[in-house]
Amino acid sequence: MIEKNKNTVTQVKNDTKRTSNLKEMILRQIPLVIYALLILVPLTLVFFASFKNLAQLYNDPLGVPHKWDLSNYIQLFSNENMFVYFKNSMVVTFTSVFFILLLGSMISYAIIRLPKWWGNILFAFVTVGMMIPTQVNMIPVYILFAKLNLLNKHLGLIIITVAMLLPICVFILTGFMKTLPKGLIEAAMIDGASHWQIYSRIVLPLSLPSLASTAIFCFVISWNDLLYPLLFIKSNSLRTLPLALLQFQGEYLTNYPMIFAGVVAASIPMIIVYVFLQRYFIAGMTAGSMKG
Amino acid sequence: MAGLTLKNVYKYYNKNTIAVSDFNLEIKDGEFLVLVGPSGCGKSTTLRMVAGLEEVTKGYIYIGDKDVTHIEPKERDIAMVFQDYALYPHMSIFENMAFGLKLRKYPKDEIKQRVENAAEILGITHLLQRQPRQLSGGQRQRVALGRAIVRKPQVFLMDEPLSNLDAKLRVQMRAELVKLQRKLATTTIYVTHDQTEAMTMGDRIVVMKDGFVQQVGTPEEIYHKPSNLFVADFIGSPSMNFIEGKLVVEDNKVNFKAEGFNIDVSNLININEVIEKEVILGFRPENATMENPGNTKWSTPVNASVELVEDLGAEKVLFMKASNQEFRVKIFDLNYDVKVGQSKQVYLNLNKIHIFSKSDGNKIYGC
Repeated sequence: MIEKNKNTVTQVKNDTKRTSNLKEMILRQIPLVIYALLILVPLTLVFFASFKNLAQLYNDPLGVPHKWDLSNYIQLFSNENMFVYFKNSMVVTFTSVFFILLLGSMISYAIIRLPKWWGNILFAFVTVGMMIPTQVNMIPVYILFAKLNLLNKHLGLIIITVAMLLPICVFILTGFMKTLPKGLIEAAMIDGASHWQIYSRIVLPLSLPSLASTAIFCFVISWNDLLYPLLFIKSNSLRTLPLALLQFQGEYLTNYPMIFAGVVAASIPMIIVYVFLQRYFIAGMTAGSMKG
Repeated sequence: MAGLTLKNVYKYYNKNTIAVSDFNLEIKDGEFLVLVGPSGCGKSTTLRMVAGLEEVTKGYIYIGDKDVTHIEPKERDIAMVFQDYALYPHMSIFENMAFGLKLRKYPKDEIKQRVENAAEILGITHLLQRQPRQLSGGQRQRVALGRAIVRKPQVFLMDEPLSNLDAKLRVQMRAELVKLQRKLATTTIYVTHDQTEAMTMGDRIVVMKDGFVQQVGTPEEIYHKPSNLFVADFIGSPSMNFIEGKLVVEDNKVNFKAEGFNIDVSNLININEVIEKEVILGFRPENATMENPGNTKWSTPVNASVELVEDLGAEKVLFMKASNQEFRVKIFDLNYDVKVGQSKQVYLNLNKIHIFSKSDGNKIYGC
């Protein structure tokens, strides 16, 4: 009898535990589902809209397209300049990301190797840049670049992108590099490695996860950047994609389906980069954030 | 290969934090020297100063005749084995071992030959193409050793290299390391907090505490002739027994008196040599016996009761109590019948007792 009662009590306890676990799970999942919807719904609407014509879009902005019509895409790429804009975006973004990672990793290496006090000063000096909003610098940077004859050139755009994204890159990479075992660097020193050899043969290969996540992060920001191209680029042949998409926005009438088709096409390289680097992405982001 | 000299070496982290103070030592070519002491005693800092990983605040370090005090680690011609092995995780075992040679631009054939030779000595030839993460702790330890020996450096530095291994493997590697060092005859400094490792491995031992060298000597000297209370207590397992008491001169004899103890120590001290009266008597557990030896080498009996018996198989450790004084006695006669609660008479070997000053802990009388 007692045994039976015991069993019943255990079962009730288990049931209560299971219910509370379920509740906890639902409570935890709801915000995530809401967040996912907030991102997925607009993306889906943009994707759908890129297959509609203007009339369809206005009549049924939220619905699935009646016909999967590629005419927006065809029209988009029939404009020969579209390939030029793609190429411009590629040149600016890839060059910027390359230099951000190169310079950022070197600065981060210096920060972890300098005596603690000097390292902290350098870290503060570089990362304080994260606190300055882009808009605040617009006019002085414009004047400076005009004097340096860097306006309307990709070089100018690359320089400003590197300068803008270097602080966040240093922030993430330093956080990661600080987690590398100090013994590895000391072992390399005793093995006879110079600073450059320690950086290039030990620290850099071991920092691949954080380099990958920083690369994705910077790639997305640089690829989507509208402000600086708008500010610096005048020639049609030098425009980047976001700037080019502005063409479809008229004073009286905006061709939204075309813009959306452009947006979808423009996001393909980002998706490709993410797919290639995503396995490093999470590790890099968490390591950087925890130590930052 | 070369000897090593440390001359008045100091390390301060700031005015109040002294890591190493006035370290003086000459290490002979081919010698195996062990630095031993508790955590924070400055042994690792001393090793790191020799390696060039820590700046020397004051003093000089010479490898052979070359002053290396302020030069880069890579120019010192040393190799170091770290506690956590510090193998490069993105390189294969071969690359790990070859890294130092590659940086020094040795020809490829020689690198290959040296790595293979070292791998053969350590029995890790079959592991050369693997990655460090695929190896067990013991194998990683061998690779770390291999990385050090391929370079054929002037000096090996080892920072607690066995402390991450399990007990059995540690004993095995301990013997292998000693054999390897004898074979290569390379000057070696070995840091450990384990007094057994220190006793079994070193040609000489340096015992350190709070940044100061307490004693330098062969394992026998350190064990049998400790220069102060700290060394006497730190070395030996179970550690030395200490009894606080007084030296009293009576009837032309010097007696050590404490609660439960009254021992004639005239063989150690002349009557007119007694300066300090408050002292601590020290004796090792194996230097006491329960059976009346019946000669003058042994003390008069101390009456004590048996509190606990630890049977270690090859020996027994008895926890004894005389009045309020607790001490341990080690006996090797396994047939000796002893039970908890029994009263016994304990005799101390007068040639093996030590008398330490109560005020500063230094040995004042004894062997």
